[in-house]
Amino acid sequence: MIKLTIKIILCLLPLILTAITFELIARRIPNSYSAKVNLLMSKKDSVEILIMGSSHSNHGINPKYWNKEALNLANANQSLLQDYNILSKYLPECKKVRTVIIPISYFSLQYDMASSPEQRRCAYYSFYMDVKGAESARFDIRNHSALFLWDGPLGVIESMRRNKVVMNEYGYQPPDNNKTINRETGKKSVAMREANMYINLLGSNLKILERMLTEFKSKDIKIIFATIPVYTTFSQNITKNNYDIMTSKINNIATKYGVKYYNYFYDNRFDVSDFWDDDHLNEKGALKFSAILWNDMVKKQ
Amino acid sequence: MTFNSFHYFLFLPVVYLFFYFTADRWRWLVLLFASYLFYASLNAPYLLAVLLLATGISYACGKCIASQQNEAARRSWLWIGIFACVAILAAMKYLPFLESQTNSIFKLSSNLSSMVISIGVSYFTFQAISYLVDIYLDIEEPEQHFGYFALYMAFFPKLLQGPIERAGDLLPQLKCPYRFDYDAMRSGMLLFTWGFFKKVVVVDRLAPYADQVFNNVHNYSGLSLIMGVYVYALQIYFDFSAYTDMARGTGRLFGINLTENFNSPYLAISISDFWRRWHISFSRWILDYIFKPLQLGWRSWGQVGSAVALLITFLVSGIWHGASWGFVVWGGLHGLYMASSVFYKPYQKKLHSTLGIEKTTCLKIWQIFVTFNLVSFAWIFFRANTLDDAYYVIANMLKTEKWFRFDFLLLQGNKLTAVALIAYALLSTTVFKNGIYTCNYNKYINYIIYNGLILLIFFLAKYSETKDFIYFQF
Repeated sequence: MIKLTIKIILCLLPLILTAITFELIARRIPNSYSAKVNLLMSKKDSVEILIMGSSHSNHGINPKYWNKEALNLANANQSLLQDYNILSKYLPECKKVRTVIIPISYFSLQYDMASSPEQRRCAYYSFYMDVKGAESARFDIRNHSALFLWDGPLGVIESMRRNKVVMNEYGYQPPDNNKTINRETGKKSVAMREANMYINLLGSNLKILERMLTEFKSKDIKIIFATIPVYTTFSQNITKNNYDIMTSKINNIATKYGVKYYNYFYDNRFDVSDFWDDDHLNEKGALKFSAILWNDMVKKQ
Repeated sequence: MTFNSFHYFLFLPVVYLFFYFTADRWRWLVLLFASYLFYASLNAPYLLAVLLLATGISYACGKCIASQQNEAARRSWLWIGIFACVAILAAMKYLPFLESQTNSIFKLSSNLSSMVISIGVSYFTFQAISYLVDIYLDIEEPEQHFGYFALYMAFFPKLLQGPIERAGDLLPQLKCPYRFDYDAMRSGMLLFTWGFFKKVVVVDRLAPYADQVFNNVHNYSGLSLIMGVYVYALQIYFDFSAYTDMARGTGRLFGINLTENFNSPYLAISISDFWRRWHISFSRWILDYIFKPLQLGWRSWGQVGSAVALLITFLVSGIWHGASWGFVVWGGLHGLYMASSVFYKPYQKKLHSTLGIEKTTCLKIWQIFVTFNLVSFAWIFFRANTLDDAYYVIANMLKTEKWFRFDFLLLQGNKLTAVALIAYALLSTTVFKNGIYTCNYNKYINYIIYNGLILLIFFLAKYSETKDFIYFQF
């Protein structure tokens, strides 16, 4: 038994050493999560506005021309729970932040990353943003090992080789080449969103919003809700009831806490040339939308 | 929890340590508890109840058969036991089919079956039936110790996907006092690792190709379809044999030698040879408990009786795989292959001897080629999502229009798939040629081989989109 145990250890030693090496490398792979946190830390004494949310705001809000220093902390599929956890962790370090924009997408109130097919992304928050507590309750090795998160050693090598995060100094990430937009793609996009929307998540997401509003209001931080424009191929295919729930709940909560809600979902100032796909703005659309949002925020304050 | 899951790598050493440090007389209890825990980890508590029910019924019926002197009573108990086992199997396996039929006839919308899984049920009910028949035929004595019998039914390495063990093979091993054997441990671990390599490196890299073709058959024709069929033939073999290797490897750690289920089936020179090499424990089962009784009953019909018995046996084997016409056609095709061989075999032999090509390498290669293609042809029905898809594949395989679609080859990771297959071929034909556990070089070369295999798995394994074992569904 002892001989066998020693041999097993000897056999596993090269594997363990290689795995540890790759684990350490994987934790240093450049990605938008670590890049945004680094950006935030470098601007923590000057940033005044934080923008949260999912890919809709990540690709849709570019605060480059705003008169106040703003930072986009959105990431793909980021849900309200991640928004809240990031703010709870980093707001105390950002003394000048007075405004936080919480984008409300069509799916936001009925979505939770940990129970979606994108649940692996939860691990990025703990590895690269040091934000814990949003992982799925079900055991997943990817929540504990960056090596597995990046699909093993070959995935790590490939990611290191790419080694590129396209992001401006305000945390805005422009999408790549425009995708095809038509009625079919619109239907598919809506179906994809709706497949991960569950009405039973409504209550918990509203609670997160209320917690955010209560906690941050006491710290004199203003919350602004905004719904980013989508193209007609998307808006025409949504389930009306979901949209009604979203707007009525957000309006209620906004009224209750005295905060602003700007809804651009059906905004007809945006045409197909402003969109990357059916529900994401492109670089041009992002600049246009950011200018509109800024004007509204300043004017209506 | 499956053999290729992270949980199993924690579960197995813990169970082994408990087993190792427990006195011989209680070791069965450790294994039984571990087996039930393993089964319970599927998050379907009713499965455990079904296993207990099948265990209880077959144990009781076995004792009743043995205690009766009267032939009619013995036969009654046998049929009661068999009927109960088949009823359990049918209820678990054919519930989705029955429900869909009931829904369509009575315009209902029940979806009870979507919540029911039947992993492992086929295997332990088959074991129960073989146990009862063997007692009835006085081949085996009934097991008196309920604990050992329950362990025979539930032993976790073979619980989900076989091999289907006979009581005479497994029960004596379970009762044998365990003695730590370094060589058995080493060979068990190597066999497990080899199976793991086949699953996470070879199968998980092959699967996207077969899935791509069979889930979108109408997008392909010609060579792409042919390649899709061949890839699936490889996928199902590697998948199933990987599981068996891991099961046998695990068994060996506990001093149990489980039945070998595969013996290079794609090197078979005829369909009957294929069935001696493919899913051996299952083929033995259907041969002994379905074919032989039928053949015996129809022996007066001569060759026709044997042919009909073969046809029915393989049709049953197809139906056993599930309530789908694809499986029925698959079983029917194999039945047809086997039944026709009853008639042409004598003429084939004569022809070979007349031409003087008996026992030549060329003939052997030709026979392997033909057998592999016949088997692969039948796999089309087994894998296709519908019968229409299967017909489409067959009708368009030889069409030259859109002969080859490169997107089939451009699937992500195709280079790695090639590397995985080459690594498998090299390892299996050089290092592990005569069975992995006989790999006895000097200790330094062995060390390099072990590490090489482990590091190959580490680098080439597919970490995302891993698939369940195909035969779990049966």
